[in-house]
Amino acid sequence: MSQDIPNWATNLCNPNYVHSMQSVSTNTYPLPPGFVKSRGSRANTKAQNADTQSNKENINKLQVQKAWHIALQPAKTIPMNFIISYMSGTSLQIIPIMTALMLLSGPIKSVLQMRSAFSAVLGNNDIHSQVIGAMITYVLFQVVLMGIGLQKLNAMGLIPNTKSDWLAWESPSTYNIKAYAF
Amino acid sequence: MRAFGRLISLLLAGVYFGRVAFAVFQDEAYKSDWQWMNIGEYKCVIEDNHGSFLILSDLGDQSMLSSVNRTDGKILYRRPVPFKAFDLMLVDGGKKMILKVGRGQFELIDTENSFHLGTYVGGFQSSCIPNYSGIRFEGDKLKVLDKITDLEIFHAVLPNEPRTIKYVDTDQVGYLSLLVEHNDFYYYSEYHDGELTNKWSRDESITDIVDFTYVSEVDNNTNMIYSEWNTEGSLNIFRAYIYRVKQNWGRLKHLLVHHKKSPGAILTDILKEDEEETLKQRNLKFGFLKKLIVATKKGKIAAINMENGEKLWAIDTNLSDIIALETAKKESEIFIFTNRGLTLVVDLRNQYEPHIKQKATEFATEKVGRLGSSDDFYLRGSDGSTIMFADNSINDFSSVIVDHTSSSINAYIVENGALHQIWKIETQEDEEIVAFAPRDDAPVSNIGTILGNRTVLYRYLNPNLASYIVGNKKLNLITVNVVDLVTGNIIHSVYENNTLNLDQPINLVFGEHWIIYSYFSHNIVAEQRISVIEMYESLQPNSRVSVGSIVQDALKNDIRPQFVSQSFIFPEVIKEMIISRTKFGITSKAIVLKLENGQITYLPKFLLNARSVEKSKMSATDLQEFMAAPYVSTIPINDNFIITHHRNIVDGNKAKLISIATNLESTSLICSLSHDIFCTKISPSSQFDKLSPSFEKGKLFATIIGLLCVCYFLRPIVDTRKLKSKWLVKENYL
Repeated sequence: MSQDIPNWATNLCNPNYVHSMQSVSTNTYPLPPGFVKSRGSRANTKAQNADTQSNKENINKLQVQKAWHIALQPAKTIPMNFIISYMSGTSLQIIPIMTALMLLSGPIKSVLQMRSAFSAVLGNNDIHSQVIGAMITYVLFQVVLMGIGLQKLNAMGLIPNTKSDWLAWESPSTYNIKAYAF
Repeated sequence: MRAFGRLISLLLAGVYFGRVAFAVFQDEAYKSDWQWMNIGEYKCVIEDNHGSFLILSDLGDQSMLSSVNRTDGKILYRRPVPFKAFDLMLVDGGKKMILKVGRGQFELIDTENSFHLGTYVGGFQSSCIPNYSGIRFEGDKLKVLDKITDLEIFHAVLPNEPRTIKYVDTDQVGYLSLLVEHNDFYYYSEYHDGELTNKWSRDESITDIVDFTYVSEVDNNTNMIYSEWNTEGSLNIFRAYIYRVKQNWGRLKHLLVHHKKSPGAILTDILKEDEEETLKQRNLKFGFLKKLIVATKKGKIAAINMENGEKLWAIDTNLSDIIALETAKKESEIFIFTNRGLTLVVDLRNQYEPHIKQKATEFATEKVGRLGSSDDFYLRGSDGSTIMFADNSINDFSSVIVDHTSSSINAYIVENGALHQIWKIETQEDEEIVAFAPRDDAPVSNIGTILGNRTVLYRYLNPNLASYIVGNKKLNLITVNVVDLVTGNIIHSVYENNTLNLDQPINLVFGEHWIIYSYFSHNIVAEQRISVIEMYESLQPNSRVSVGSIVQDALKNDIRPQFVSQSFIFPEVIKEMIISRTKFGITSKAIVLKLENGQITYLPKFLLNARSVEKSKMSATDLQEFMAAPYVSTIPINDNFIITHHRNIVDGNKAKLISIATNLESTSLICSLSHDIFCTKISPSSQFDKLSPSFEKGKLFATIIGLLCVCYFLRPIVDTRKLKSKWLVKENYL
């Protein structure tokens, strides 16, 4: 017993059916109460241009902001590192020495990997100069961090910068006459 | 360098885990030290009321009463008495005794406590003469005779002649108690029922030491290392490094070959610690195996093992006027100097049986001095003349010899093997040179003192200096002088304005750049003072006046040091004072003190700091200086620093306190030679170059082996995991 295929099922399988359907554009519908349509198409394109312009500016601004954000990141760690370095003391133990060495090696590593840190904001010629400025600031802050490490090593007496550190290389005077006393 | 040094010390601290032994504690007492407790020549032996022997003997200018346990010959007590006694008489049932101190002069002494009770006037009959009734001597036999029949009951065998019976007592039935002297050995034997039941002997031959020397056992390994050092020194740094790596590689190869490449054998070799051979090797390497060679007043030359005090050999020279003992020809010979000059030479090449080799020059000698480590000797005759006894190795005009007497200091220059006087310092009337100390010849490890702020005070390190103290007998004052030995200039003179007792010992030592002297002051209160003078090129930090790279002309040396001084009070009278010696002079110097009560202690030099000031005047950076301590007027005696523990050391007139460096930089051998002989080891800066005996080698090795085993099993597992993860194979599917 055959059964008639329902209309909706046939239409559903027919890809052309959708084109033959009559649709009414929503533009023809009256606007909802209180909604005012914008004027003329000319003004529209102008606004669009202005939009892309401001977008670009915005992006640049954002990127500059981002660049400064990256540049200032090490500055935020300065107080913390300073406190850690102060609190860990100057006694010659493995932990204070490790902290001091990390404070020294960290900035060097960061400076070497600066391009990857700034990769998100590089490549935009418009803000290149500003990014460079941020990068210099970044390096400056890393130098400050390194300074904390150096200061700590110095406080520990591990930097041979005084005369006493080179005393072992100084030889005593020798005399041409030897005296024996009894 | 300081930074590097600090790192090294950090590593060392890691290794030693803070086990700092600044002092001698119970665990080392009676292990690293030994003592020859001597009585001396027994002048009189009597039995006291407790059945022990009471022995009268000489102790320098005095006498000594000793009690010896009859059962084992151990000393119960030794008490010096303030007289020179010749004879003894027991009175009052043995409770008191009378000592004969001169012709018709007697002193009464309490037997129990040896207290002096007063002078005795009356008859005297010696108790010291042995009672020979009931015994007869026949050859080497002492026969005990029957009371009635006068026939032998039993006999005791005596040592060979010459011998002296010191004590004999018999009941003429079966009991005999006999003490015989032979060759300074005292043999005791006791018989009950005619049978020998107890015997012991005491060796009293090594007492009253007049001079000493020492011979180190030859360690080929150490000698090899020294020759390698010398080779390294002549190469540039890279070649030296390659050379050292090569040498060490050679050593490792030798170790492997020696143990037949078996790790087990190497490990057991490392772990076996207490075996005699290992210990001996280690002591040899550490330079502890030294023979102390001493000359006694009676003319005996004896060698003593410095490690345990065992007597190795003794020769009787019958010389009663030995003044000096010196090693020569790389410690293969000993020169014996007497009042007649070099009298005997002892050949040491056969170390078990040395023999007297030759007799030499005749020169009426009063004083002998050795010129550094050479075999050249300076001899001063009793008439004041001086000669050189040398193998002509001295460079003309490059050596100055300075000699002192109680009234003058004379300097000579060596020219063609003869001595020519160059300068002389004479004391005034009523004055006397009471102490003289040339600068210690120890190596200098540091030419400056590092202050708390890491600046440097340069030390004045002219080696040609000596210090002497002149005592004014009239005013009871002393003056401490520092003299340049080449030019004869007195570069410093300190006048102590405390009146003092010149009869009490005055000691003086001259270390690197400091002078320490001690005296007994009478001013205000009677107290023992110990003072220190330090010399610096400049008191301005970081300013050096001398130049290191050039050879200074000692005659034109115009650098004048600057002086800092400080004085301290010490709670005991100091009889003797020396500076500890170590191989490289890196270890902090210790001032070893013999106290009047017979104890020996030491003070680290940094306690006697001339620059020390009151705490209120010290800044935070001042406190950061190494071992900086605020000035405290009285230096207390720390019980842990008494290196004699509760030993009682009895001295004759003047003890010789000596310090000998070992191969371990940390350790110095200290001996006191006089009536008694006492030796010990000290480590003034802790034993930083020696693993403590409690170091758990076994556990360390077990851990390393365990870790290696774990690695051995884990490695393949980790490798397969890595491979699988690369092929994205999950563990579960396989």
